[in-house]
Amino acid sequence: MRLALQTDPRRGDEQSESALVEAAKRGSKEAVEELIARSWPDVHRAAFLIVQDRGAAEDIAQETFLAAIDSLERFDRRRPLRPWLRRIAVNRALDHMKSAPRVREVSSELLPEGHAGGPDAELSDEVLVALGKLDPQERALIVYRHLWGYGPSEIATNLEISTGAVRTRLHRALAKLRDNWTNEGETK
Amino acid sequence: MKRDPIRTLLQSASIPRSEAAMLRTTQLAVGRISQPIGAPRPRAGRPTGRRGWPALPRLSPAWRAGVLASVGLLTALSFTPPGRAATGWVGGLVGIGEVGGPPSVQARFGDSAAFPDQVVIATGTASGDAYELSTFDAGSRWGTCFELNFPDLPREHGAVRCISDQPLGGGVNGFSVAANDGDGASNYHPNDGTWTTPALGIISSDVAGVRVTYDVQGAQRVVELEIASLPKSVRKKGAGSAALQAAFFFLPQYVANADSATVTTYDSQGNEIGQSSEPDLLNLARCQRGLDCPNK
Repeated sequence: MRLALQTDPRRGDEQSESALVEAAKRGSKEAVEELIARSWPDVHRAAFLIVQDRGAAEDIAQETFLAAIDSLERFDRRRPLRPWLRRIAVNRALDHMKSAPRVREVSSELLPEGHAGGPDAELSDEVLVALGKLDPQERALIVYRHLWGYGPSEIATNLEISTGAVRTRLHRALAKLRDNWTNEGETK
Repeated sequence: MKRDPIRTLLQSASIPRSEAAMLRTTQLAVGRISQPIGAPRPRAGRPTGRRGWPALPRLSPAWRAGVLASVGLLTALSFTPPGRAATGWVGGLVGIGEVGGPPSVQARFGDSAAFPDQVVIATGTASGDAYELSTFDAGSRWGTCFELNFPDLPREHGAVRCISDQPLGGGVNGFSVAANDGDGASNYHPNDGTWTTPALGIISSDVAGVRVTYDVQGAQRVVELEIASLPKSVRKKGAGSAALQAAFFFLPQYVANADSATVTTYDSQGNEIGQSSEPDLLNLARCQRGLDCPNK
């Protein structure tokens, strides 16, 4: 059987991220702007899915990038930037939730126009409501596992818990998500 | 191509627009970059390990006990009615087989009729790709086999490992990684530019934990492996060997030229019971013969 190797069709983009990091370290404003533009949607979405508060999600995303900028001189540019940013963002979101009200319903004011939770609300908004009934760490587990596709070992490293705990809690979180979803459908 | 439906829902969920916040953040970040070298900056973020990577959790007795309890609990949950329903729901969502049931991908050699006892013992996702780990008895020539397959990807992205003689206690029967025999190929994820390479090994039943340490470009990586044991239903069916388990993990990169790799196994008390260290332990494919290895 032949050796199944693949070339990287985005090798150019990977190298440019490395170059952007190096340029940002040297003080390039354009490099900073580009790095933030590339990763902001990913970081902000994850923050919102966990904290489910518009203002808090923006603050967390901002803190994430500013923390990264402050630590950039120690960052190894050969490594991809995004996993590092993601970890900072999730940790910040969980910190925020520790000091925030325990349970927060996703209110219609938080959703963009046209997705106000009425009969025409898209299925994807139901996931926000169902997610909102989980505790913050459970939301973080689902973000890591399903939004980003991390494995249990990676999640365990990032959340500083055991791999077994990741599996157990994720299994529980998905079961609760299913129950919340089913109940949500029944009340409509 | 089947995708993780939960991922699709999370990606398409309606979240508030944040362009203004992004612009503010960019302005602040540019301002910080523009500060003179040596100017004091407020420290932000959590302490991280060397080279910007997070510090790894240390193995502690409580952790080891927790891992074992959790694995046992998960196995039990898979076979109680509510747990099975949840597993089925999750399995149905991601389009893969259920633990204890038939796989959605046939065995790599022969046809499925030749291995009617092939059964799934673990499922999950790796960087968004659903995988299923199955086991079957491949007869006297190949012995007990474990296969790691990705139902949504071409066959070469999976890995298989067979053993006809049981390894010594605490031992690891090598790893199938990165196309040493045409499987275990790395998978590229275009939406975030990352790679995933599966590694699959066989361990004896007395092993409760496995840690792999390997070097990539001079940087040390440490991975705690997933361990999949044969569920009760598999033992009842007689498929596979109860004295064997599968240990697997996913390298977060393309085929890597590991300078050295060390595999350490632990028993249920957290005691080290075996260690192997060889340049070629993981049988990682080498970037030779003019082949392109972007993340060597």
